[in-house]
Amino acid sequence: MTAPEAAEAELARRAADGDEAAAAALMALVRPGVVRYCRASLGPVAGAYTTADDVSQEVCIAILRALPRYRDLGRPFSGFVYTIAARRVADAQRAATRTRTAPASTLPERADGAPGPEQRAVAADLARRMSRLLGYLPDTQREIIVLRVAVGLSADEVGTVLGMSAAAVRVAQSRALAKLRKLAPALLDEVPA
Amino acid sequence: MTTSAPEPVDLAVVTADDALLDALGRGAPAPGGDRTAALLVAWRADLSGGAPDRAVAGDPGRARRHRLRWVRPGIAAAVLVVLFGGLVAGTVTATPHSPLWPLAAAVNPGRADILTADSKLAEARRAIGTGRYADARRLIDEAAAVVARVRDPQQAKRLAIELADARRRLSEAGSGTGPGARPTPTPPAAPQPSGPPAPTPRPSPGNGVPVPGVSLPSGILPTLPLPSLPSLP
Repeated sequence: MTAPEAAEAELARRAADGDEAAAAALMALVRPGVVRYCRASLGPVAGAYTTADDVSQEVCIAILRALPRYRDLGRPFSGFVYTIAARRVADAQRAATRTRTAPASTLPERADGAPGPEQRAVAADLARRMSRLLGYLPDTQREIIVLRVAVGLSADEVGTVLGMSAAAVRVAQSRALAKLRKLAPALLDEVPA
Repeated sequence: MTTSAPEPVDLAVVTADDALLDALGRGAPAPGGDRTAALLVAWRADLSGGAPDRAVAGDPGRARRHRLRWVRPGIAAAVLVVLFGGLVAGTVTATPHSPLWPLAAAVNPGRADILTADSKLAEARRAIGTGRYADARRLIDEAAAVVARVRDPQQAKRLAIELADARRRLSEAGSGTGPGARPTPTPPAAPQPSGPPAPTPRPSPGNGVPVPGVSLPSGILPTLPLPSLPSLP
């Protein structure tokens, strides 16, 4: 484990032992990554991440509830966090497919029609294209990109979460990048800027 | 679905890709000319809810208002829910010296009173043990005030007993019968003649409502007989 990972594991150990201050600090540390993970995995609905953010709350609560069961086994705490997060996200996806109301059609796509002076709109547009692009990746590769880039985990941590060796993660992430590189130009040039 | 046979992986490429993803994961900017990396950076920034506004182009004002109206309260609510989710769990075990105590007290004032009383009584016993009788007396009086608010009959009874015990120890220690006794430095301020007539302490007759009788005004009765508890039904 790297030094920050070890510090996080130590914090988690104290939180698991009932130290509320440690639990609060731990959640402050973990939460931004969880939010990005849920947003990346669930995507925006009607242009907002409200649903994803709801799920990220559930994830944080689930982590706190599960904390007493956390035992530091020499593995990074992120393994614990994102295993829980992945399960919650999968639950949310299943629920969404059951009650699907064609969210894609409600996306405000008008932004695409405007030629580029509005920087923020362009950036948001790029982001949306990226999440569509990720949809072309196999599940594991997409999960790796989400954990590596959106959350910011190391290859080793991702390996812990996904039950793979770090080397396997590195090979898979290279394949994912190669695929994204191949697909990106088509997607970028889809609408003339 | 674009599934094609995976190409053989070049170690140098793997290493470079790993370094790139490490950098992007830290929020670093994309290397110049790498459009895919630029896409990933824009995506990550969007996920962070940071600079790039998920705005509708052409009416940034409306988009901003939209964000202010919904997103901020949404985030605030998320933070609150997360905090509460964690903290409510935390408040169950919070004690008067822990950081979550103010929240715990707000969430469950009844339990807060009980824990406060326990905490003050424990401090009082420590004060007696170290000869700080004035402190002990003050703490016992403070505890008595809190105990008076406790509504749970069993807890109130238990605290009344502990309170009486603490007063007995204080009087023993202070009057020279206790270990390490020395003249009690307590100020004579304790009895309050203007107060309501002191309710007589009852060695709880077992009817389960000891609270009003036991929460004594400070210092009137230095020694309370330790009520023996006829078992409650």
